[in-house]
Amino acid sequence: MPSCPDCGMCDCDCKKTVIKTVDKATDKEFLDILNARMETLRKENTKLKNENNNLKKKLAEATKTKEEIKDELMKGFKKI
Amino acid sequence: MKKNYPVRHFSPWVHVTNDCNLSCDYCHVEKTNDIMTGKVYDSMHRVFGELLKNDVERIFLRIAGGEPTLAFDIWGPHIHRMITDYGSDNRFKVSVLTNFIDIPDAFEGFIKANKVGLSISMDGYHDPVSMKVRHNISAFCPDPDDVMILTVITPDKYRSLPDLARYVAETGFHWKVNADYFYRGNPSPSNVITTLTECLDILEDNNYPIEDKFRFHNDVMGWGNHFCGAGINACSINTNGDMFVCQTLHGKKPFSNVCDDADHLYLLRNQSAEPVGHYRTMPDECSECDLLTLCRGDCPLHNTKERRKYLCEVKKEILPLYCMKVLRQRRNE
Repeated sequence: MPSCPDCGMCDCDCKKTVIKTVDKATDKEFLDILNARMETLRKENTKLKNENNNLKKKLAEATKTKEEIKDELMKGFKKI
Repeated sequence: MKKNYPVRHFSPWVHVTNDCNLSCDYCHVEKTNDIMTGKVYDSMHRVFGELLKNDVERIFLRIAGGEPTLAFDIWGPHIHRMITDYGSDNRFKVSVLTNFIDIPDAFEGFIKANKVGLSISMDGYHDPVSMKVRHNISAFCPDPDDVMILTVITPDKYRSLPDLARYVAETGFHWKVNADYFYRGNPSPSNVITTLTECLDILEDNNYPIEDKFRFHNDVMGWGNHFCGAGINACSINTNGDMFVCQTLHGKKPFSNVCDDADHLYLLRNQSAEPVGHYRTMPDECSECDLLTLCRGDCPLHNTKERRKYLCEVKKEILPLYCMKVLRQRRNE
């Protein structure tokens, strides 16, 4: 058996639910859902861009440090 | 505290047998030889009559199993008697959840004479089981509005779902697609998304009424005024009469037995052992989600973190796509 046929016959009268209930979504409600999703995606995009920039900076710093270490080592070798 | 709000519909699953002629690995029913007995049918007959006399406007039975057609000679006469006694003013309706592989002789007459709905399991298109099912459907010639094809996305058959979408669009059957109910993580979310996107494109291209006839996963895309009815007006009755808030809880402690002299509806709605109905809970991340009005937080019993991670990834792609397609279809009407 699949878990539930979701035949649409169950009809809950529960008043504790947090979601507004509708018989059929209006065009506006569908658009609201799409807009909310777009907004979330934009925020996620911005967050990812920021993370990407931060990672690039860290990489640059790490590379610089590596170069510096290399220079110091080379200086040390020259002394020897 | 007593909670006995009025109930308009009562919709129990009735597991007439736990035997089956298939062995789908996602099935939540343990395959046994248990068959519902006459005592349980007589008790259900009495209980449903009392409910219709008192609190309940309509009863909608879902005859399930196992595979119900294997025990049709037993349940057929009992359910026919219930329909005769209670079904005259559309207050008592029945649908059968079946894999539609072996159809008993008298089954077609029973279904058509009593206007019984059919929920037919079909997970693919080209495999031998799906081909046999399609053959039986075409010989049966049911009214498309009375048929719902139930599909569970499985790793071995999901690639043929676009062909199944074409079949559904051509026949006009309702189509309900379930992602894995109990988390397995296979096929991958990206494969499910790609396949379902193709299916939705096919349905739209063939002018299939997506809004009215297509659903993805439980309590998704169907714009009813409800969450899952488990613990409110939906429950499950096992072969021995034991009653559970959900069919996936068979084997756990029942909240009642239909043969007992008890107020079963009261017991159903006041049970607090499971987080359903008035005791439903929802993860915080769901209550803040953009798609909550479509998804409704999914199943409260099996909404584990692992499963949610998998399903949310799919839903966040598919549900907005569904919205766009419905909007486009409405504007083209």
